[in-house]
Amino acid sequence: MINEADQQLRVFVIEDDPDTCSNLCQILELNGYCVAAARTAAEALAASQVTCAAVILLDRHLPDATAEHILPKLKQFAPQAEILVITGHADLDSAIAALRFGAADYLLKPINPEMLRVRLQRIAQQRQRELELQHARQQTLQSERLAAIGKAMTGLTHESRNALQRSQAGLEMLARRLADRPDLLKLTRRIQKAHNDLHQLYEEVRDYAAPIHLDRQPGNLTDLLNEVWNDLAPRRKGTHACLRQHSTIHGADCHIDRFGFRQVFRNILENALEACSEPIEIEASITEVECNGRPGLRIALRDNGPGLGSETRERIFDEFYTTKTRGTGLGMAISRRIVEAHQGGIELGDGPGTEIILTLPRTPAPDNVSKSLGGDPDR
Amino acid sequence: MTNSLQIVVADDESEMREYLQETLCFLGHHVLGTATTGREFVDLCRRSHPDLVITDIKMPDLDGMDAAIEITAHRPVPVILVSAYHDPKLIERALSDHVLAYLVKPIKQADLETSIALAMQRFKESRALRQQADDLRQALGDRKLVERAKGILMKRGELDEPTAFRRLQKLASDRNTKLAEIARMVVTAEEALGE
Repeated sequence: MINEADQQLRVFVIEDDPDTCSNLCQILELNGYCVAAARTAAEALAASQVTCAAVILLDRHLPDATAEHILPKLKQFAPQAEILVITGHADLDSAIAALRFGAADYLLKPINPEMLRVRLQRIAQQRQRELELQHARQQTLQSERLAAIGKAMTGLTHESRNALQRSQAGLEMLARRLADRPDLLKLTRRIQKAHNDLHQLYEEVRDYAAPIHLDRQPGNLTDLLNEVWNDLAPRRKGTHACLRQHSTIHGADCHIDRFGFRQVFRNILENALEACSEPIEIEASITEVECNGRPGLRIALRDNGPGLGSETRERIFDEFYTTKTRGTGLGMAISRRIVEAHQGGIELGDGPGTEIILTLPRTPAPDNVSKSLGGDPDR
Repeated sequence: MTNSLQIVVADDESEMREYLQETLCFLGHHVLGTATTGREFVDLCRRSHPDLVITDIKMPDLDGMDAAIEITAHRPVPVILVSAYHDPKLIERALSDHVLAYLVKPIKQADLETSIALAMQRFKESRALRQQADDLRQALGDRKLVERAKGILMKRGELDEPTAFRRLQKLASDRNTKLAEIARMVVTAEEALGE
């Protein structure tokens, strides 16, 4: 498979006069192009290199065909190639006619090497632009697809959760009736567990796919962190774990989407609780920094656990990357989405232990206050 | 462990009603009745005076939240909302109002157990606070009355403050009435004499 970049450098010359032909080939090779040549129309159409050429230089009069004859066939064999017809002054009218047959341009004999070079460069640039446009289109298409998926998932929420509820309820009711059949009860428990896993997976993917709606309101990060830590109390029950907050500033006030940042903090704290052995100590330090040229906050959360291996360090924010035996590995990916939606960033610190550093501007840029990323703003 | 509660349940899906009925019984509570629509729910609560209500949000005619507002306006009762949605704005609005717990489907027996305990606890606390506020208001009102009465006695009877106060106290004990009551009588009498 020829890749796009290479294609730019391939030129095919179809010229019957041996001197002109070798001349052209030399000029082209000197300019770094990859050249192949043919003396007749038949030879050209039989050559394999024609199909991968980016540019074809075609002499107006070939022994076995005129340009009008061969042009349609060339366009068929090499649809992506730009065809430049080489012609003499006297033949100008028919050269222009050739343009109608699919030639991109014409070159007058004797060929001016500089002119040739300029023409070819222009073609190369155009190609490049077309490639970029194509990429951009693909990106847009991809974004639209993701947005559509997100929207679809949001629309399915009610139905899916109701279905999950019905099966979950049925299983519970079944389990109650099987107290005296331990073998059946065991099977039921197995189904319940699988059901829970499926539910968790569904919720995480739903969270990830759903369009992000930011509702930035004034809030205090210190308070929010404490709230989330308290919410995790049932999970921490019986475990020796504490969260220490340091702040060199008066207030960790900033405009954040509370719900979103709750998720971010929760993800990070839960990971720490899972990875560390007792006594678990998590330190949170909040400092003032500049974020994209605006006043911002830097929140560093560090635990006293074993830290991250090199592979994890690289892939921690990737979708579906997890080192846990359960879980989808979307937690950090979702967190990153949320922080970046706030025009902030998330990265790993050096530790010791696992250190996650969040930075974000205190207030949003004027057009960011209520931002929807991907999907319909109306839920 | 919460004592056995009298509960009213509302959900438009029969499977859900069945599940709630069975699970609540299993947890040792008594289901007073089930409703399929918001209207039914409100009527049922009016008639039966439950200790706790559990309702879905999405129901034909009146939705669960609005129904709960009507019910608690008539008679305060702890409300647990169950919903397939977890729109944070919706939850905040619900919790700030009068809903004491919000569960997102699918829910389990354990979720019900925890949220029932939580809701009852919160309800108790909120009633205690309300009672305390009422008592304080009352005390403040009484105090103001007594001050006014004192002022009147001081002016009319040309008494000094401690004497005026003692006069009021004596009247109260002689008639076996509250000080505030006597004060009110004095104030009313003064108003009657008019100025």
